[in-house]
Amino acid sequence: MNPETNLNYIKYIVESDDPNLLLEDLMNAYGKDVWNYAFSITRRRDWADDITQEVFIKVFRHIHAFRRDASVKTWLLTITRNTAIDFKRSAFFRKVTLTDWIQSSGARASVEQEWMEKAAMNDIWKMVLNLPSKYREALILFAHHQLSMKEIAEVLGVTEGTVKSRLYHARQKLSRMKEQKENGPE
Amino acid sequence: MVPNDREIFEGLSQGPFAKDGFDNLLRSRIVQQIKQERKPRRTRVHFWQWSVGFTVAIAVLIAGVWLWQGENRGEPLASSSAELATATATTLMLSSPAAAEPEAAGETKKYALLIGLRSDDQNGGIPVSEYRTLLVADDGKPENLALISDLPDLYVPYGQNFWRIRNVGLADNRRMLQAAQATNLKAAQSANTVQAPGSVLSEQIMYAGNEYLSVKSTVLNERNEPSEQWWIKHIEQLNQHSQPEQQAKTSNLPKLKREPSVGTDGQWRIYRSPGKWVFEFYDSQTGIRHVIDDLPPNVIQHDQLTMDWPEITRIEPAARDAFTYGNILAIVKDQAIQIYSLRKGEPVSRSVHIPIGDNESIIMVQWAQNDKIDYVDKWIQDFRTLQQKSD
Repeated sequence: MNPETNLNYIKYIVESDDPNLLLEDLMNAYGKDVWNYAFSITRRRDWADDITQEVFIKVFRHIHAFRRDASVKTWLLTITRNTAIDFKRSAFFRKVTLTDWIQSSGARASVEQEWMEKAAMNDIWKMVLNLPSKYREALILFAHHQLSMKEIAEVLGVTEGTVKSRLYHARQKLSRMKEQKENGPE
Repeated sequence: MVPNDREIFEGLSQGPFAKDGFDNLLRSRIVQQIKQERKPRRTRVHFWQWSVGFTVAIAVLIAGVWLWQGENRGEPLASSSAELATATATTLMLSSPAAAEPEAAGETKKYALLIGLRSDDQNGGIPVSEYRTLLVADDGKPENLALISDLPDLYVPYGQNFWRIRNVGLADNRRMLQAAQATNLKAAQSANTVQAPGSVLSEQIMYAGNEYLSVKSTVLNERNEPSEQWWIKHIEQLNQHSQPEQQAKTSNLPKLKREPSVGTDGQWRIYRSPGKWVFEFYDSQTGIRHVIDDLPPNVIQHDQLTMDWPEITRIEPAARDAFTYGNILAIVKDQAIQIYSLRKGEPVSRSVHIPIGDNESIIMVQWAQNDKIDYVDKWIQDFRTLQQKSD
């Protein structure tokens, strides 16, 4: 069953409703979506964990601020995107970047790399994760989260025309990657 | 050929990994975080409301009685309102947490910092490490830090003693760790002979707590190739050099509040990341890392960086790691550790400068303070004795 249908009641919640139960329902229905989108943006598991945590804490704090005309999923993915952007700008990001720099040739880097190699599920995901972020995000919202053009435009804060253009370029780039993979490096 | 939408939809229909990133571990971390956020806030607000309300009530009552007496004594009332305001403000200020801070800060406290360093090298492609231990403490006067001792090998506080951990060479040139009590020995002890299975090529300490250590072994795998194996050992088990397969991997690990929801085919490890120790379970089959947040206190203690990173880089722009406790701030730079005594977040007096090599990394940070027992003094005395023995 579509979780969106199940969670329509969120549109009619009142102050007295238990936010813990709402949070539980939201995590059941959209926890994976939030994490996968956060990971798609950052391409790091540890950041995706932290961003997902931050998203659900924000949702818990502001659950009554949900716009009744919006889709729950679009609302959550928009919060996820904004949180990921804030996260990248924060001091924490700079600190973690410093970690990468220090350990670029050490065990941590090789663990990350090994994990990227081993744990990516299939070739399409591997290729999509290597796309530039604006194409990657549009394609993942379209094909993985299965949002409409209008919803993708809302999450990304661009026009529907821009979304279509990004999806077109994403497909072209995927095509080149696929060819390169099949033919081997030039 | 452009992948068609069906191919893309099918390829991306599931998440990027076989195992969901949003697992029970993350879910309970979120729930815990929300619980923690709610509890103190509620308590703090209630306490604050109570204390302000109570103080205002007392102040108004005292002022009221005073005014009433003054009126009865026939003193003028015109200046009383200003005095009442001042009296109330003073009482409020005295009851505020900021006013109570200097008393709580404990400015007479002394602290000591023990740092363990590992320097890495290679011998025929096999990692070889040496260790040294630095003790920095108040040298007689508070806020006057000095390097008390710089000793080869790693000295780990365990119980009321220090244990010496070092690399010893075997007949076939392999080097293994050896741990032995170094202080408060009733009689001179002869070192045990180190014996290790032929497949264990070398051992390195990646983290030393005051009971548990994270050890990386280089072992020969089934294909007879060197491979890494990490694990966490109790200090008293450090002299057991068996192959990881011969021991249960988590048998000596304290019970965690939440076990990660992964198989048992993995490795526990602790390593330094800027500003903190990272404690994780690494699933070698899937390559997935589970960072454990609720650290058992007997594995990692006092790992809270009490200053923000921008504050640290303001003091030392080249900072790449830091640790704090009490009034001590230690900043690690590329080729030195700089240690400051702080007052109200600002360095006082000269800092202690300890040069470190390019191949040296932090593997131990331990703290002592003069509590009911003056551990700072005890550590200084112990290290002076150890220093004399090693000279």
